[in-house]
Amino acid sequence: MSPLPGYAHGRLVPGSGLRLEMTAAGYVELHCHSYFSLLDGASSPEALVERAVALGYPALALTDHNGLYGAVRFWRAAQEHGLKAIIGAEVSVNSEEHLTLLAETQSGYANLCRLVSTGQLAGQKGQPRLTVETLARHAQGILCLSGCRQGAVPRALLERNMERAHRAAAQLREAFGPDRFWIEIQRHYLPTDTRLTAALTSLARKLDIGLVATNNVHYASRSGQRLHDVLTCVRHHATLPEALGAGLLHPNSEQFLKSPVEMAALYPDLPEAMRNTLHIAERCEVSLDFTAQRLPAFPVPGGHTPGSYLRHLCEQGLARRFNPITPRARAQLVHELAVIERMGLAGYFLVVWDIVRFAREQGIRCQGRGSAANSLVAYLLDITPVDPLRHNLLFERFLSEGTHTTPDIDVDFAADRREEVIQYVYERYGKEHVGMVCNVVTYRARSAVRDVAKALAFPPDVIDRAAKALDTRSATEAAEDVSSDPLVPSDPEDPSLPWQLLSSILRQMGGVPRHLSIHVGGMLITAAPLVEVVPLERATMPDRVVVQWDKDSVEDAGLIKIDLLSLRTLGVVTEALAHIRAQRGLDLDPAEADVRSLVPSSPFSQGLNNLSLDDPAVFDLLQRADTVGCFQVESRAQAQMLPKLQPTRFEDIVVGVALIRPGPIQGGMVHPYLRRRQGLESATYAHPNLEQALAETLGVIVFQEQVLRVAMVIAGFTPAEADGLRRAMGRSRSEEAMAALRQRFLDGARGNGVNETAAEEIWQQLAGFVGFGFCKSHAAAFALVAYQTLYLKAYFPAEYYCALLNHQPMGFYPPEVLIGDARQHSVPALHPDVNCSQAACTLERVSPPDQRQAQEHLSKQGILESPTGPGDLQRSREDLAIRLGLRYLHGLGEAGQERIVERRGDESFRGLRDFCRRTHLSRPVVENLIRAGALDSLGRSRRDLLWALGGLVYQEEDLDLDVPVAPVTLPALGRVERLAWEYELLGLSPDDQVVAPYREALRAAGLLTSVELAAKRDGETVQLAGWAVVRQRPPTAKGHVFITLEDEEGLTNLIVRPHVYERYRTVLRNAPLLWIEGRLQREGHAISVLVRRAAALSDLVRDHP
Amino acid sequence: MEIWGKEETPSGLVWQGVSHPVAESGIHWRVHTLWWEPGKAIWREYVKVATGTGLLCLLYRDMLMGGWFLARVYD
Repeated sequence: MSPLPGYAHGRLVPGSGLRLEMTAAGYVELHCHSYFSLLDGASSPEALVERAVALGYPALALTDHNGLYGAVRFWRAAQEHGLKAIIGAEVSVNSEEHLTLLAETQSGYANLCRLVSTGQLAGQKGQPRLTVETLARHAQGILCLSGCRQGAVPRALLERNMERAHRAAAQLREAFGPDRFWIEIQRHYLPTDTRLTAALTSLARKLDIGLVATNNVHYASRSGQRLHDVLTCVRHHATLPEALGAGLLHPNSEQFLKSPVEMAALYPDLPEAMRNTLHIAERCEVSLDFTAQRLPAFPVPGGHTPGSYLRHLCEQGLARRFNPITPRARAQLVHELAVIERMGLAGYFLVVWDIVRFAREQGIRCQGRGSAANSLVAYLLDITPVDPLRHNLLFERFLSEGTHTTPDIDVDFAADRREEVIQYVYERYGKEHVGMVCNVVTYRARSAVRDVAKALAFPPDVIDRAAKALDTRSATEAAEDVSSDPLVPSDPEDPSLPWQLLSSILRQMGGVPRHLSIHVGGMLITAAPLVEVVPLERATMPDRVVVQWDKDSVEDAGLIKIDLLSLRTLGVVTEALAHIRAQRGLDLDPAEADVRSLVPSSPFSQGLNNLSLDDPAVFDLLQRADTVGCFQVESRAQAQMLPKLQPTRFEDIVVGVALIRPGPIQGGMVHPYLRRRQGLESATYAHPNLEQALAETLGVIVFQEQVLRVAMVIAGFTPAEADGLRRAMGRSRSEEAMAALRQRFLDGARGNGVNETAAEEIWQQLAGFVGFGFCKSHAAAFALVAYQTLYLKAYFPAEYYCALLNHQPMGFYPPEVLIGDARQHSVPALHPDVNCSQAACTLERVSPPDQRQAQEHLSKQGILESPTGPGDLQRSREDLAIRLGLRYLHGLGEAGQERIVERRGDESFRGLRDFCRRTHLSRPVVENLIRAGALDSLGRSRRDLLWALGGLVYQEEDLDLDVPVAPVTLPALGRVERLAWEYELLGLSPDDQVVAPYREALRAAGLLTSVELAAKRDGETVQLAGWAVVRQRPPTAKGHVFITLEDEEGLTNLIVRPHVYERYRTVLRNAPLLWIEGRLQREGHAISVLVRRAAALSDLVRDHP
Repeated sequence: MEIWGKEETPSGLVWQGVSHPVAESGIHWRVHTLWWEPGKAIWREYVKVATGTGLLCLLYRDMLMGGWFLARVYD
């Protein structure tokens, strides 16, 4: 498109605002929807900006429905392209009337936010409401356009109600002022356009209101009509034919960004309407850089500034943490405080310190994670738990003056009490200043296929099959899948389904928002009232309000958020410590003042928060992969890795935690690292310059910041560019950014004399890290929690397991495995019992003779004791058992649990009748309790009790009567049957395991136990059986399936290749008890079985009883 | 039947063997739909015209294939 003679457009001149050249053919679109008008706009803000620039617009407005969701993305994209961004919204007035609002000034922007928020909060979720009175109250700084055909004025005119139209227009003119209200004229080649335009023009002349041309854009270019039609269908839950029939679709495809020439051709009779778009655009000046707003004023004690108070707190922390205070620590502190001061972030640290302080005061366990752990100041303020000096962490990874990034401090809180912390923040800073960040849920493969195929009128069963067969998660990849043959079923009855059309629309669905939800834990605290910075709306959670920006937009607007996250493990540790206190009188988490009061000579003098991180018992557990129940180190992948890693120092745990992540796995780092660790190959470096960055990880990229170092060293990325790489890696819309960065990397590498193949290889490793690598400080913070849980498991297993069982579901394994593991560590589990149990699991002392008896009993049943390790000598013989809580009884419910405990009071139940009459629980419930073993302590067999229950009559209100029951000798309950009942009703068996009854027969058939497997050689063919406790098919594993098998002695890891999985799919997917034949694979101490054949154990047992 | 004239507005048509020049043309409107039905997509620009010979007709331009067509002749 060649520019018209005399037509020019302005360019953004930094610092001086925009100059617009006004000519007859100039045009700015002032009424434009992105896909943030949920299910009504088809284009991204970026696509709209790019199109506008290509058309020669000097400016563009974004006016999504009742929201500014896309405003930051829009504004940023506009800045990058030298386009002026006009921020606006199309609001709903009196429920249904549309009105276009544009922010003229910064205070107008604040008013716009207020208005949108008011409308959102006044109505119910999804149905915002505003009145003209409210508009008038907050009209200052806002420009108003009369809207599309759903505006009050046009609608009245279409209904030929001149009077109402006049009144509405006059009202708006009054509310905004004569120089801030225009009548919108839209020409979409609709039959009634001419009549409506004439009426609007005449009305405008009468009331002396200006005219402005808009195109009510819903897609960037004409081809977007299709996606827009489909989204309309989704919005109305209709197919395209249905929507067409019901008049829901826009009749034609004219609602796209048109060139100034095209627009001029539409308004030859109204040149002023064109000119006014430029007039209006020129007036609007709004910035979405809220860096100055980012922090609330933190109330510091008298005589202090935020900076001085921060220094004061750090000095206290320094004395506490460093005894003596080293010159290095002192120097680092001085350096960090200077940077923090220069960046104006003292208040931010104080805000976080205050939240953490509050939590600890309330006994809520918490710790910082992520890049904040690089900071000594954060460590001294007790925000983060790791000493950055000791672990060679770099402060600049967290805060760097060169890069314009906002720091992010994330804090994990005990999951069960995080809500209290969130409430504290709301109270402390006021509801006006606090908001939760939102999360934009976009279309992925399945949801996209379902919704689009439905609009295209595909039959439901076809849609279902297609959606379920998808291998991918992104909508754009689904487009590929759908257009390739295997997915297209050859259905003779319906050969004409529009698969290609489906595919072409799916290709456009990537990134399209479906709805908003709350981001877990992300909180915004601002200096100004939040409602002047970003609009608020209702969340689905009652009483919760959420801001309309997601975490990326929040960051790009210069604001700071604090992530208050939840971690169940912290709750587990808290409870374990409480048990240790109660059972042993040992306080491992004393208040500050008491730390020194711990007896120095006792083995537990350090307290859990001050462990020396070199306890051999901990490393013994790790080396044997005896890590079930421990944070970050218990998964199957970890269990396979740890014996090869053979950790001996805390730093090894840090690497181990970072290594088993999609980032390093996809980057192909894990095996090389382990091989080098085991001395099977030497550390090599793709380029000598990399040695410094990668030496500590043997030449392999493990941590996220190493990715940045490599980019800087190999391709000469500046710190700012490296930070851009980090951001692209961390965000959902990183694909385009990554492609651009790849080019930059290869060019830079070439410039540094690195050969092409090497550069490409290195880039592959970097790219594999997209979004899912840990930075070292984060791994260190997590490794510390892992260490603490290992420590607790090593020395206080009973207390630790009890706490774990009270915080389910969590972790990698179900309670059944935890019980089995506890048993291996000499901590027996006792049935939930109506006389002994609380709702939660508790600890009971089993006196040593009883415990020995219990152990003998277990041995007799073929359940062996755990092998002893070097740490055993230190640990006292456990005399605690875990009493399973009533909550483990399926079908009892909270009310039932409470009733049993309450009615029991101080007097145990003496017998079945006594129990029934005091608790009045329903018969089926009592039956289940009996079968699960909860009434075993009443002294009769379960069969007997069931029989007696049959003859017992008891009711709520009436008198209780007996029917005498003839005593009957019942066969003893078989072991298998008992196991079956317990697995059904508890999900586990406290003192038995489901494979154990078959052991004799299995042994006779040559099957091995998990312990016996460990003695076999690599390559040997083995047979075994077990309970499938975990089945995994990780997306990074290319079709391989991993199964964890449990028998009465422990766990075995199975690896199933894709073709084997296909052959035995039903069994491997569904059978709870498996028989496996395969090849033993041994790498050092790590064992797994490569499956060759599989069968359901129940089938075999049936055939060979 | 044949329609001649400029791209945007026809100036006349031949119908039933007679030539009918366009005297007045009214508003144009566009319809674009049924794109999901193979071969049945409609993208047309309609215009009502009055001819010098006293006919009132509805013409449309096929935006996909090009060319003007006669939709209706009103009595």
